[in-house]
Amino acid sequence: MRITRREFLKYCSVAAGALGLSASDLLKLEKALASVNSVRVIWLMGATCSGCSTSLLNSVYYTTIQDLLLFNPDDEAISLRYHPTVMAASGTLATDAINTTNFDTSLPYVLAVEGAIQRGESGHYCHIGESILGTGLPSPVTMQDAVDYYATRTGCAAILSIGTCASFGGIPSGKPYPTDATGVVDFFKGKYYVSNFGLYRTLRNKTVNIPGCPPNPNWIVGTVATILYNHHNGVSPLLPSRDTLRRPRDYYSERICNNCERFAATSGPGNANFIDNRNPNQIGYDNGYDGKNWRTFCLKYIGCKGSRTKSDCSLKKWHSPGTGLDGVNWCVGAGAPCQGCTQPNFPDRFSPFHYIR
Amino acid sequence: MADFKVDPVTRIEGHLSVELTDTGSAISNAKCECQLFRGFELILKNRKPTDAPILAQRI
Repeated sequence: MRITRREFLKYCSVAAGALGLSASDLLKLEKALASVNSVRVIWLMGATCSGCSTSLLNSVYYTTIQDLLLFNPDDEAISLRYHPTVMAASGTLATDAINTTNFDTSLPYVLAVEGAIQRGESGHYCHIGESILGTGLPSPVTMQDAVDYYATRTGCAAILSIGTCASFGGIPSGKPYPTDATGVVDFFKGKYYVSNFGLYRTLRNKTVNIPGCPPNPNWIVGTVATILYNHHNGVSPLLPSRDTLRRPRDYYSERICNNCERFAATSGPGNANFIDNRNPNQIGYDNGYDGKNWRTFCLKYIGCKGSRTKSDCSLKKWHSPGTGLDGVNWCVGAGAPCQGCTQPNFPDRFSPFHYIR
Repeated sequence: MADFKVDPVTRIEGHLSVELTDTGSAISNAKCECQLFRGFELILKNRKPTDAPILAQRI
């Protein structure tokens, strides 16, 4: 199916990431946009710092973000209908993209939620657009109304909670809970918000939490790729296998200590590498430099929460230099104690993050 | 008298809405709506000071 130049320009104004492409890229873009079977993705942002989106834009290990959005072969591209941080359109043109999404059971769509959902003041701590819904929900549209609406449309195959804020509430839900922020699954428990639509249990079963502050782009891209692969190959169940916290097991089953090089270099108290800063004879915040070499020591007593955290940071690390290559370093490898940012307890139960004698 | 409203201003960090009222020859009124409040100042209270950069960097 070829599209006309006029349609192409219209698509460019509503699609994410289409500006700045070379001529050969635009030909591939036309092929991707012409596909009618792309999985549609709507990305809503609530109480977020946009760190999760920024992290996703740095995707390298599996694929770059432009390949994921635009250049996958045949019908495998995703159609990112709405993403406030990267989309080219703004105002009503942007909300038109979301309003004209065809909700159809034969074409699955994925709702990605980034940022916590705030229930305080009837949700009015977060407005996400005036005309975003042509459906009669009260204007201005609050994040909780929007999530409620888009999660319950027909054809919603999955709800991805990107980041710890959307998964478990994250930092906006820290004490003293100023805006009553919560993650997507707890929001769907319906304790304080009575939905206008849908059954909450089925929504919770469709939710994949991808926590992290921010999550590694591989975790997001890998989960999306799994869903796309399962959809195109008719694999059931559609969603990757998840643990009890609804995090995909592929990325969140390793306790940090299992693969940590500092743990390996330390064999417990008595070992020279085990710095215990509760001992008053240690010189303050000894970082293990003896004038010539840095010592590799476990950071447990300066506040590392790795023993209570599960993710693959210690295994695959961060900042992959190229496709298929593991990351070059990670928090603990750089000397910073793990903050436990993939856990539901982040930040309240893991605060203080540094123990200072 | 024309109203010009861009409700989700996109490609920014956070949420913003801008409304302009135009009398034909000049803009008579302009409103920006900051559409997100998370309460970081409240969240930072009663925590150790070394937690402050770690939490505030997520603003």
